[in-house]
Amino acid sequence: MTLAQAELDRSALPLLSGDGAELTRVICRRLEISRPLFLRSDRLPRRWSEADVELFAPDFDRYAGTARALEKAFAVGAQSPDRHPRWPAGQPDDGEFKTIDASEIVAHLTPIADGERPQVQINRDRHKKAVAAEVKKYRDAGFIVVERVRFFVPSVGFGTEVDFVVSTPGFPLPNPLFAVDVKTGEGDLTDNQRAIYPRLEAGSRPARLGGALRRGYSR
Amino acid sequence: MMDMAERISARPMVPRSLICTPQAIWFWPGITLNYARGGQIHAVSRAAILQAATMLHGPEANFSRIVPAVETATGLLNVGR
Repeated sequence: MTLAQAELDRSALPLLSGDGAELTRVICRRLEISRPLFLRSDRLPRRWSEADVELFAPDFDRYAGTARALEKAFAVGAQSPDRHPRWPAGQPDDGEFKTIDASEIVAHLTPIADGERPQVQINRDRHKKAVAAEVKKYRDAGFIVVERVRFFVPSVGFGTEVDFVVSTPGFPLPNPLFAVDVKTGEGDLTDNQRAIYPRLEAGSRPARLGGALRRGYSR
Repeated sequence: MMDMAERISARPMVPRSLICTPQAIWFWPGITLNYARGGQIHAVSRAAILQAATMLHGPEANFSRIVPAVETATGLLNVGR
């Protein structure tokens, strides 16, 4: 170990927050890298909704190259199918890795995957199905549907991502009609959504305008 | 506030979110905390370091010593240590 690494190890960073743990899971899924066995602390309450995490995670896509190059360096103690069978059992490609019982080491810590299918995953799957059904309905009716359009409002300094935008065919670009965010749970709008949705109605622009244009969304 | 016992106890079990290579310091998943200028590497701004840390470690990271650790480690990398 170099002196520099030893210095970094003395940085006394706290354990991952619950929000950070969920964010790492989504980032790993997006970047297709293994998930380090970070431990998280449950001392702080979760602040981010599932939608918030899905909104933040794409910001890390730009690190995909370095993330893959450094994957092994970060993956000390990474979850492996041999050491940590998947949970629920018998799922080759899905489900969570069952982690070592680190909670025995420090009683109040819980590993990221705690042996149960996380409620957030159940909720996400339910949400995906609902979105797919809604998208199909509009597409079957002849509308142009662009999924996962991200909006950024400079005046408030942050953005949000809607499930899809419905447009009608037009020239040279389709004419957007409205944005749809499918709600499948009891949750209300997030703080970001509450701040941004009124501005969307007043007209805003997607964060990646060029990409959005190519995908057929013109506002 | 996180107590020190928790941090120390967990240390051997927890993969690092902060590592260094001979050229730079990296925060998970691959965020570099350095830039090069004049043949030397420098630490990025303190705000950038704290932003990277708090995204994963929560607001308590603001009370860690990650900033001086990164700055000191950057100096050590410049001398090949």
